[in-house]
Amino acid sequence: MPMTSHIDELLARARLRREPYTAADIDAAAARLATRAAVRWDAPEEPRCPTPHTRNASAPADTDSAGESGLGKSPVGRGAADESSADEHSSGSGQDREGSVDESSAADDLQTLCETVITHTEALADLRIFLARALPEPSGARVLGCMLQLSEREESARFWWQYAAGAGDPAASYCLYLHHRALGEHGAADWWHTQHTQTDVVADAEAGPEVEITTTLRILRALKPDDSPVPEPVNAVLHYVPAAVAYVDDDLDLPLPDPDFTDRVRALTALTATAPASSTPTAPLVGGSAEAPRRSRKRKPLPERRRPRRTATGST
Amino acid sequence: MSQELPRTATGARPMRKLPLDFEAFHRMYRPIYVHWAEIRLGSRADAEEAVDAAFEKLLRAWSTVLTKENPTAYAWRVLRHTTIDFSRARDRRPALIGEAAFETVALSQAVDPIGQFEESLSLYEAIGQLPPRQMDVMLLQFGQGFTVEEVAAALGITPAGVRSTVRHARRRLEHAYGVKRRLEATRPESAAQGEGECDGFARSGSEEGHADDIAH
Repeated sequence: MPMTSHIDELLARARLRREPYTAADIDAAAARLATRAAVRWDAPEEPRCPTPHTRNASAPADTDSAGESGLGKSPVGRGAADESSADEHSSGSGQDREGSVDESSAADDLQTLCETVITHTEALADLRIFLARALPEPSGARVLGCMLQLSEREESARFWWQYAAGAGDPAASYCLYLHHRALGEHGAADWWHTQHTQTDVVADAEAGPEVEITTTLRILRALKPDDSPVPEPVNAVLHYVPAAVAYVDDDLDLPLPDPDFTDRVRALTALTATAPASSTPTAPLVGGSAEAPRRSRKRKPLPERRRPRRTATGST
Repeated sequence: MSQELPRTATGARPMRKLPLDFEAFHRMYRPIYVHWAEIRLGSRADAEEAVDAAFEKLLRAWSTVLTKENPTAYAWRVLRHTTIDFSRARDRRPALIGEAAFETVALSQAVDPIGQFEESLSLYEAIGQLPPRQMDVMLLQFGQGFTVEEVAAALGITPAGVRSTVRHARRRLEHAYGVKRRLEATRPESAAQGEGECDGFARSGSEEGHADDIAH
């Protein structure tokens, strides 16, 4: 690849002088944390205590009077910073809590949503036809994204959600919204939220506003026992998917499924659904078209799947 | 406001011990957290503060954090969020990342410090424009010299994920530089991008030739 050389050289010269971080630094930090924790636990309602670094002690002044104070590091360049400018100060604890709850609950919501999507009755059907047509099907891409997310392959998950969302799948937009929110990427989160509400206009009437989505997800979560079993076919696919979707090609930086992906998925789901006692779902499934097709609702056979893959990537 | 510190402090018991697993987690990841926050905030002291705040949040919710599918990734999100809030609270924008250009090893050894500074400044500014995950990975791997495995561990993603993120980031940077170059060198560049990258690279700065001299 000739194209990497120049950037690589720039990057090589970008190395910073790294001031070492010593064991003593870590110990001191641990001690600070322990002290702070003790304070916080004793008085949980107190605002975040100013940190030991004394410079910070001067900071509260400029929160109280953001505009006038000469302490303000730089002139008014606030803008978007406004909403969080008071962060570590007076309203700090409240705001922090809110901020992090927001992210962590987005992560929880996403988890619940993904679990719901993949255990949905249609999920496996969606996945079975995922690559069976000229282009990957959006609904299958959404399911695949959710499986990847649950397998902690969030980068790949994002890709497939983006694909699905681009094809107008509102659930995928919502996944992306939660995904970015959970990562603290609020700009992207807001954008996807807008997309979601737009793509969802039609569905709005039946589905109700977004508040209800989060509420629903939380109710689902509350109802779900910790160890609630995943249906066996779903489980089988869930184990297969992360291994099957990978960055296959250095030139083509997309998390693509194996060529025999659909065959395998069909085989896995067909096996478990129709012939639970049959052979192990590992080696022999490459020829899955031979044994799987029973349930595979007469889609086209899959010989040209390689082509669709290319097309799909070209379109994104 | 500052009167409240004594009030809470008087209530403080002798130091409470940190949970063992939290302590281990803290010990394991604190250095890389601080090194990352250092670039985002421009100073070790600020980085310490922000990282303290992040770990404090994690500590308060530690039992919940442990129930997460991927506690490490979760912790990284908390760190990032906390640090960004912290920098906003101080009116700092991501552009601050450009200040890293003062701190490069190359600068301390450069024959042409100004040229080197400008090069690093423009590179760090470009990195500052990347999406968050790419930015994090680039800063850690190339700025701070952590290995792919170290970066992956800290971010709670796979090494393959890190590598792929780096590829994406690098491609974006190439694109950014390619665009700049095309704007500068008004000659039409009909060659495919891949071939164009290597030869006759005119740097974005006005000292044309400097970067090339080193590069070639």
